[in-house]
Order: sequence, then structure tokens, then C-alpha cells
Amino acid sequence: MPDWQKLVRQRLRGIALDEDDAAQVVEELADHLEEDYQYSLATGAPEQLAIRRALRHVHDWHGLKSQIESSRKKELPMTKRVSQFWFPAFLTLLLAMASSCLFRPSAPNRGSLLPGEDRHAWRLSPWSIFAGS
Amino acid sequence: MIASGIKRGTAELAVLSVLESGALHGYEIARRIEQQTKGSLRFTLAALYPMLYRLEKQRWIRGTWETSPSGRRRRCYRLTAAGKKNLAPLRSEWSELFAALHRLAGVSNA
Repeated sequence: MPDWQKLVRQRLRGIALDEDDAAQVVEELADHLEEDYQYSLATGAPEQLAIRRALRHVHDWHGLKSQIESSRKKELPMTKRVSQFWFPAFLTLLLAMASSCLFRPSAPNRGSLLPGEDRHAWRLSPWSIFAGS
Repeated sequence: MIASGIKRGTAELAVLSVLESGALHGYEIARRIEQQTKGSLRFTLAALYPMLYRLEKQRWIRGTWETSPSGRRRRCYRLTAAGKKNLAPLRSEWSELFAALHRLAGVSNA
């Protein structure tokens, strides 16, 4: 009987998955090929034909490797979070800057957070930098 | 593009449908589909596993390693709650498609 695990490991050599994940894929695919091989033998096929039938499952191991890589690759939690929240966060920042600019002129005693310290008010509020204090 | 989309859609429907009856490992999934469709649908290993992994990533199915009484370790797949939830609209979409094809070209409903 062929060593199916060895065969699959060789064909998927260099797969871009972590070691444990790659080992699980090899074990699972090898198990599938072995089952198919055993089924062929049980239904009366000679060994060489059973092997050929099992191997017919994959014509393009390189293509299978790429498909497995893309379907099993885990997304980093931070990457996903960033992809979901960068735009709302950026929009919030823009709105905050815009509203700061818009509402300051109508505010009484603008820029004067402390009496007599108008010129240094920007130090007390980072938003004041953008509001042009 | 349409052809590959249709192919993928039918394959997903087939896999989710057989898993509705209970947990199965990859080879059993392929055999079950082949038997239930009387050989009309056949899955090679190359077609089956990337799809199983994709469905697992989408959390429609969940795979766990189990050891049989004979000591053989296998990865069994189960339909998740999300998978069950998505199976119903998938069925109705395909049913609509077959009905439309039937009206258009006399293609029988599945």
C-alpha cells in the first residue's frame, strides 16, 4: 500500500500554512486518498488501478496548494478590525475637525479657556491646533 | 464567471444539504453526494477540500478531529447554526433558478 501521507506531504511541500495546520491538511487529504484506494480494492480493482484511481483526484497539485492556502489562511484579528473600522474612525476625525472649525466662531470668548491666556490656549486642547487657534 | 459561480453554488448546496443529516468526514461527504445523486454529482478531493475549508472559514460548517472505535482519526464536519440559517435561502435561490430555467428552456426542476 502506498504511503499516502508521504505522497501528499511531498506534493504539498512548501504550503504557506503554519506547521500544525499543514500537518492536519496532509493527514486529512491522505486519509481521503487512502479511503478511495481501499474502496477500489474492495470493489475488485487490482492494486495499480486502485492507486491510479486515487491519484486521479488531483490533476494539479500546485493549484490545489494555492486553493487550500487561500481558503485556510487565517485573518489576523487586528487586520480585520482595521479593515472594518479605519473608515468610520477617519470620518469621525474629519467631522470633529470640521465641527471644531464651524462652531468656534460663534462661541463666546473663543479661544479664551483661561482669562488672559488666549495665545496659549492651544496647549490645553489638541483640537484647537486644527481649529486655527 | 457565471459558470464557476453556478458550479460553486451547487457544490455548496450539495455539501450543506448532506451535512444537514449529521456529521460526516470528507470522504463520506463525497460518497454521500455521489450516492444520493446516483453518480450525477461527483466530488474529487481537489474540488471538495478547498470548499470545505472555505465553508469552515465562513463558519457555516465546523470541523473537529474525532477518533473512531477502531482508533482511526478523522476530521468530521458539522453544519453550524449559521450554516443552517444560510441553507434555507440558498435552497430557495436554486429552486427559483431551476423554475426559471424550466419556464425558459424546459429544464426540469431538481
